[in-house]
Amino acid sequence: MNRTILTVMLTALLAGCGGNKDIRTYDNSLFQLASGFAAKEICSCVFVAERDEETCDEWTRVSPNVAGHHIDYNAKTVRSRSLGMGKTLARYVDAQTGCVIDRE
Amino acid sequence: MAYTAAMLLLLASLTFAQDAPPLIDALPPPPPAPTCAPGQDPTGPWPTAIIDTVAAEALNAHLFPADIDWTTKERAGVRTDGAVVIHNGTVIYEAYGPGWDADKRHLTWSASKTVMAALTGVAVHQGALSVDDSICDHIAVTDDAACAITVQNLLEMSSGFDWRETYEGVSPTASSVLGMLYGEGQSDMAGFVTGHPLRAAPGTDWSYSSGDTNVLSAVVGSALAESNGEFYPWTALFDRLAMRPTWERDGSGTFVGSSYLWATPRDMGRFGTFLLHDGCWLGTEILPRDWVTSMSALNGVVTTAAADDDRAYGWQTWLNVPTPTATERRWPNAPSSAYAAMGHWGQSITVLPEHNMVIVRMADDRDHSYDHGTTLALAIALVEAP
Repeated sequence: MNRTILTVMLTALLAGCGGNKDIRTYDNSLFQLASGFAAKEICSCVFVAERDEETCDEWTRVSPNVAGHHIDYNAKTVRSRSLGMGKTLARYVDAQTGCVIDRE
Repeated sequence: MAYTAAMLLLLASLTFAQDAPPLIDALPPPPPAPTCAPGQDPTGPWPTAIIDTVAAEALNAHLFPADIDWTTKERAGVRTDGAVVIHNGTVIYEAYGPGWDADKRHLTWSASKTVMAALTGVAVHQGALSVDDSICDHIAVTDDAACAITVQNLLEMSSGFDWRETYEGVSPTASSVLGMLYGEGQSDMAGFVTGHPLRAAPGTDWSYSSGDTNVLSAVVGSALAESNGEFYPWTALFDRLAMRPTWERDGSGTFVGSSYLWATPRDMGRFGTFLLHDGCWLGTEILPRDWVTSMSALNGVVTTAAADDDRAYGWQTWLNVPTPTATERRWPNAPSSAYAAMGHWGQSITVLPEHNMVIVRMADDRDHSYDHGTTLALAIALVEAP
């Protein structure tokens, strides 16, 4: 529980840390970026590189690790959520095109 | 008096010049341009003659250190997933890390950019594109100021867009490249990039930008898709080299030229060999003559702008030459003619023209313990060792 609270606080801090007002920020939250990264890269890792889920989970692990994911091997999709605030679906198309993001 | 004499001399020289045959006739004819040698490139499996020497053991020990713990979450140390060395068209070294083999495609990250530069050359060779074209000759932009950007500006990473190429360690929401790949930009990356204001006049400031490469991808796609089909990277290039990569697209269908090419190390070896052979394959010229020379020469913006030690850059390609302000070469143990496609977490395709060698390394390096210069020196030692 304490770890979850700490992660949320740290994440919120990072999400808002534009810091310098001269630096442009984008219309993305850290949660969207995290779920986008996890969904897309886990999808590619599993279905393009044909590696196992545990390996792909480690390969895409970032700190703080706020994105969870679910792989649908039949539909060849990966759905990722970041603490309920960012959701992304990535789907495998074919061997030439690999995975693409379908923002939810 | 002196003025009159000078005028007479000038008049005399002009008269002589008019009477003399054109200077061009006095010069010897230029040497014939090199042609593509037939039959020097493999179409099927690579010829293979693995070297089994002390030098090979040394390269192996450098790329696959015995003390690496592949199970740690920190992913520390030199973590090579696959490596191939091709010399004189023959695979002389090949090795893979745990879970990897010759048939698995690996993400090349920014090594994709060099492939994008080659694909741009294909478009120029086909007459579909010129390096002097404005991007607005091929794609729509929301701000006409971007129309001052040429294809060459994109090849040179000098669009001038106000762009931040930052990854780990910097606020993710301020990163232009993360916003492009995983955020608001992923649905149309070229549109996202060209929506940025210019902070410098095009062609005046070198700034490494995955955004520039994806605008280039959209431009090249517009130029090539009509005559080469939707899968133009394959019809125009990969199929001809017998490569079977994956190249992922953004939401608008544009290939993510900056980052998302997946290929086996051997396929990357084919691409490196293609560059080594100056854009020729099986005796056919696929790139314009001198295109690879331009890709692998210090680009004009780097030469003229204030440069630092990380700007030894050609056209979407990293070089091993000094820059105007940095005398230290990137890989001091390798010839200055070496050049490379390089990507995040340790990906590289290095071409050593003087040694007729291509060195491919796919990896998962998360710290700075890997030294690529040592790899190049050890690979050269494979063919120079007694």
